[in-house]
Amino acid sequence: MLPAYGLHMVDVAIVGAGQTKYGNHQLGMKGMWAEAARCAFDSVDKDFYPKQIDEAFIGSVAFGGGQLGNTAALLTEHSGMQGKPVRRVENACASSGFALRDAWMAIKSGQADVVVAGGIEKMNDLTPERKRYWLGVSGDTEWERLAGLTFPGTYALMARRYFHEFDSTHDDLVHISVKNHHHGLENNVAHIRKDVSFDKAKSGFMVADPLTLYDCCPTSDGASCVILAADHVVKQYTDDPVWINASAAASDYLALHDRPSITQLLATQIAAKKAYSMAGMTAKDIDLAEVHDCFTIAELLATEDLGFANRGEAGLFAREGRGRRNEGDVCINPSGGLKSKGHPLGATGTGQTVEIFKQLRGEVESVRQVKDAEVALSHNVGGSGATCAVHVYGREK
Amino acid sequence: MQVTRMWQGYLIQSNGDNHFINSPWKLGNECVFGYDSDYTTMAISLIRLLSIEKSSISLSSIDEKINQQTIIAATQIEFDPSGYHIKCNDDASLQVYLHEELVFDLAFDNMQGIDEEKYIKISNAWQEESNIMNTSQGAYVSGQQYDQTLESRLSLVAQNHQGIIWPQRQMDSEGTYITKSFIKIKPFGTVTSWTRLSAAGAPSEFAVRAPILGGISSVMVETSDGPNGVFLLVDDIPTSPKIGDSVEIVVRMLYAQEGVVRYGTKAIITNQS
Repeated sequence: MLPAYGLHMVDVAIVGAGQTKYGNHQLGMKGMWAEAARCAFDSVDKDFYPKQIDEAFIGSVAFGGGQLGNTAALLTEHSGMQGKPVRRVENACASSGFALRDAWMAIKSGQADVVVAGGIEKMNDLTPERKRYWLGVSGDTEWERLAGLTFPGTYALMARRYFHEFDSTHDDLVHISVKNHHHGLENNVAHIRKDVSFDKAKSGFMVADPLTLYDCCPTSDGASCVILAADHVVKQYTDDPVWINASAAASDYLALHDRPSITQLLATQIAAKKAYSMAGMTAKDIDLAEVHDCFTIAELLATEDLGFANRGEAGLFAREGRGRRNEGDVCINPSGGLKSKGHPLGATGTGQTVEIFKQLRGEVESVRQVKDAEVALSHNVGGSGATCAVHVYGREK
Repeated sequence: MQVTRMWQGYLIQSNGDNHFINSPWKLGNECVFGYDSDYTTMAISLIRLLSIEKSSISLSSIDEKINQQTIIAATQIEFDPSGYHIKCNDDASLQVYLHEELVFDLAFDNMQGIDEEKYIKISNAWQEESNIMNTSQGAYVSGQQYDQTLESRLSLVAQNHQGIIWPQRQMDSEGTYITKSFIKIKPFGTVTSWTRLSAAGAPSEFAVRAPILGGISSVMVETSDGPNGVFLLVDDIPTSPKIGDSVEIVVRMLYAQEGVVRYGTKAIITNQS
């Protein structure tokens, strides 16, 4: 009899992971991808060659339209993978979260033993005008965009409503911003590495009322790459794998106005519930979580949707610092999250996995290490919550 | 002297079968359009009023300055040789009459002076936007896509399928195809959330005018018939919305591209909570 979720014939591990620094890159797409792939290849403990890869899934929004078609083929030929079956995966900001899930399923299905999941986005080589066009392509264009809404606007609507329904104010978002900036301070690959005071974050330039600049992630360039292997070949590559113990995903209405509630993301709730069930765990078992904080309100909502706080209590959770590294219940965004580490759309999902791979193997900068980290979760959201991929990782399978 | 009344952000005077609508804004002694109004939006507003006050109305002729497709989509008005005529004036006013045009005087006492510098900048911005070469390079609502949802957008045409559905959908959550039905939701509702976007946060369709306006405001509205929607606030009535405010949904210019003005629905705060 099959288990409740997924195919359990093969277990899947991460044997290598790497990424570029996030930020304003001088490298083009080919160069960034090659760098991320090389970092991932070099991170494999034993001998590894690109020819051992069976398949690759590359997440990208193809920002700017420079390479909308055949992105994956173009990039992977620059990392020694020519001849392999490759494809681009697109689900807005959740593109590489879904690429990771596709790679996981390719191994689960028995069709592949070694699969690459990665992501890339080059965003800072565009004029501000063209950049703004592309920052609004993943909502319900026909209705939301014509109502003046880009993502700062849609998340601002969620924030304002949340404050109205629950005991929460913008100060709670400021706490999240301060925490994530602090977590990212010593992260060598983070886009914005600076501590921010509460007062400074509170008084930032208003982007979309009530969200200020300090509530919004930066526009980043970057690439990330992880190498997955089936359990029967893992030993060829490492004695210290990180296991993907659950992969789940869900979707929701694209437009905010079609959803019954805008103070919770249904796709996250569904994906999290499936992932916990598959892993045989609950939110209480998670030591660290890379959470999709494209805006601080997104982290606040995810804190509830992922089960770290009860409904309506994420503001209190933030105020009490329960997501801080080595101080709270669970370390939320030890990398600095999208807010500090950065958000190169298509690269973000597998970038979260790179952080988790290193955290669980004790390989991050010592000051950033989450103590006794055994179990981790990644949460990658597309747009204003219409798509979501949740993965649970462990030192043990 | 005619009685002047405010309707959907415009001033209305009536005398028998003659009806006069004008912008509430003046520049010196001239009546000028608000920042997102034109003859088409004012004509729609007046026809809607007449449709409410009279059992049925039809049109005999429309001034060429008015976008006929938009008028029909927004009001579903039909044409009949015995119907009304719409004639635009040289300023920001127009008249709807049945037989013979009367002379109406502008009710200057009820009008407000407009910020001249801002007015000129906005007028120039609309000209720039309306250039045939101006088009989106990314997210893009094509002419065909815009036209397909025009009735739903402008006159809030909805579906009745186990409850009222708006905007219209192809299938319900069970995968059942929803047949096209013609009901309209009432253009009233309550603000459930709102934001004001800085010029930098606004979509690029609004990039030319948003800096002049000092940003744009959007509201999420629960309509009185149930469905939710998101709308811009009208550009020429400065308001700080609050959750719980009552709104009326009206037609205004949204933006222009490829030489065509795109019209849509915006919200006017009618009763602050």
